[in-house]
Amino acid sequence: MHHAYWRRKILSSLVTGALAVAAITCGSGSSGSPSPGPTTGPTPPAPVDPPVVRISPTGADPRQLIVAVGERVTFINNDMQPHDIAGGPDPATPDCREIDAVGFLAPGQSRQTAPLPVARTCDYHDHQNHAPIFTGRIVIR
Amino acid sequence: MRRVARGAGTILIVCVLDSTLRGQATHDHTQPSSSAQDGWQWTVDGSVFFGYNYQYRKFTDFSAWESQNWLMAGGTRRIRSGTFTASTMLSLEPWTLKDIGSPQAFQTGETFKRAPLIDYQHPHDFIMGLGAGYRVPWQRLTWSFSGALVGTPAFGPVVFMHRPSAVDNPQAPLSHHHLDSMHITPGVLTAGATAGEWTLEGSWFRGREPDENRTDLDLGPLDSYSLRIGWARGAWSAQASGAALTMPELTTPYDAKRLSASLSYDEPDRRLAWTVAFGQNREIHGNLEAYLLEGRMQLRPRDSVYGRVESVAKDILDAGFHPRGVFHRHRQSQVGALTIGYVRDLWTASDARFGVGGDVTGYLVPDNLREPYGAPVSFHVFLRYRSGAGRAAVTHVH
Repeated sequence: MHHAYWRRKILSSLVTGALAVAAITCGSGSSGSPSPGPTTGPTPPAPVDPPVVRISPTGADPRQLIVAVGERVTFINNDMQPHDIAGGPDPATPDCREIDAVGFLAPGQSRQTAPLPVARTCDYHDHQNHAPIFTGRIVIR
Repeated sequence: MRRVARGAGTILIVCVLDSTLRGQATHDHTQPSSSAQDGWQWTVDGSVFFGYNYQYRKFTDFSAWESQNWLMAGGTRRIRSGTFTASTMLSLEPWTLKDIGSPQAFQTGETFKRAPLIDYQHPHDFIMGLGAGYRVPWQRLTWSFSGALVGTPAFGPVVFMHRPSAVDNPQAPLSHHHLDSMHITPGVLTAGATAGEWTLEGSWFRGREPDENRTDLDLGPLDSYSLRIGWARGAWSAQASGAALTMPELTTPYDAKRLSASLSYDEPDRRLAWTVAFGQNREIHGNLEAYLLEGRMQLRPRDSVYGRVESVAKDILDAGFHPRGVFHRHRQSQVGALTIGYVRDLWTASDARFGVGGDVTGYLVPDNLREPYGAPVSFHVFLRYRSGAGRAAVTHVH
């Protein structure tokens, strides 16, 4: 009678321990969830401001902008005079024709470039005002 | 009382404020003054506008409190059988307008911070005129010779600020740089001959437009030429002229040619004056043409209306610096403008009047400027002081 008591006691302890080990092992897996709450999925990346170049009497800001391949850049004319944004470092060296889509901007007006399709560096200039402060660079990655 | 002045360098202005001529003042570019006396005789003439300029625009409106103004002083005296004149013309616009100029939709011409001015009328230089001339009859002709550190070569109609058809309008015409922008030319020599109603004049001058320093003299080599034939009979006058300009614009380092023709009517009693004019700029980037019709009518002794209609080809979309070797045909924009204005004289004296006025300008916007400009409208309200007034008006005769 005494032996039978201890046999049940040990067997019960072993089963309990085995279940506990199994539970702990299962709980540490990646496929399961220990909580019964709703599934939220991965956190989305923080939204990135659309790339913008603002033109003021003191020049283009920022002078250098990094954008992703396929993005557009918005140019806003906050100056008192018109500006004419074109691709290339100066009127004699046209380049990056996607930037030519901006073109003539009256004071207060804004317009986007065409999508910038290739990873490269594009310079731009102001065809109305050749001062260096109205030139800039867009790095496409 | 008779006051006589002649001068303004090559402008050869004759101001006659003569009560016996019902107060009519004449700026005569061609006729010798029969009234010049042996001693010096002096005269002063001037105009001041002060007011509010509001430009309603699609994206950004513009406004300014500003003053357009000029003062002219000259002396004349007889020397032998001819008449010698000396005169100067000054303006405080370098200080009474913004550095960039007076807001004016579609206006172009000259530069600000080395970029072409667009939508602004540039301030005029402090020294708008400084010169002397001599006119003498010989062999049934009247010969004229003049030289000016700052003056007007023989080209185009009378500059807008002196035109009887435009004296009440504070705003420069959009065709200013097609017709009469050479009125502040640094370095001018002119010779001419008048036979009856006809005058032939030629000028040798510096073709570059004034720089952005409004208080200096932009002297340099005389490198440009002009020729003008004028006709005048009573209230009628006409001219046709051409000029070959050496690199007139800082931003376009190429030579240009300019043509103009005009017909004016200035009623002796000043009740009606009008001018119709054509101008063409022949530039490497294309030919730009301008058509102007303007007038002024005195409804009552104290009330006048004025108006201006223009159609002007503007190089707005492709203005900017083009180094030599960079060439592309520019997109032109044929802009239309209609101005209607009214002036009420509040106070008049024998040689001055002070009034209040205003005008509105609407524009015919070409398709290629519709997106950036929309449908702009311009307004001016102003106080105006004008000397040589009262019974005297100012009449230019070429």
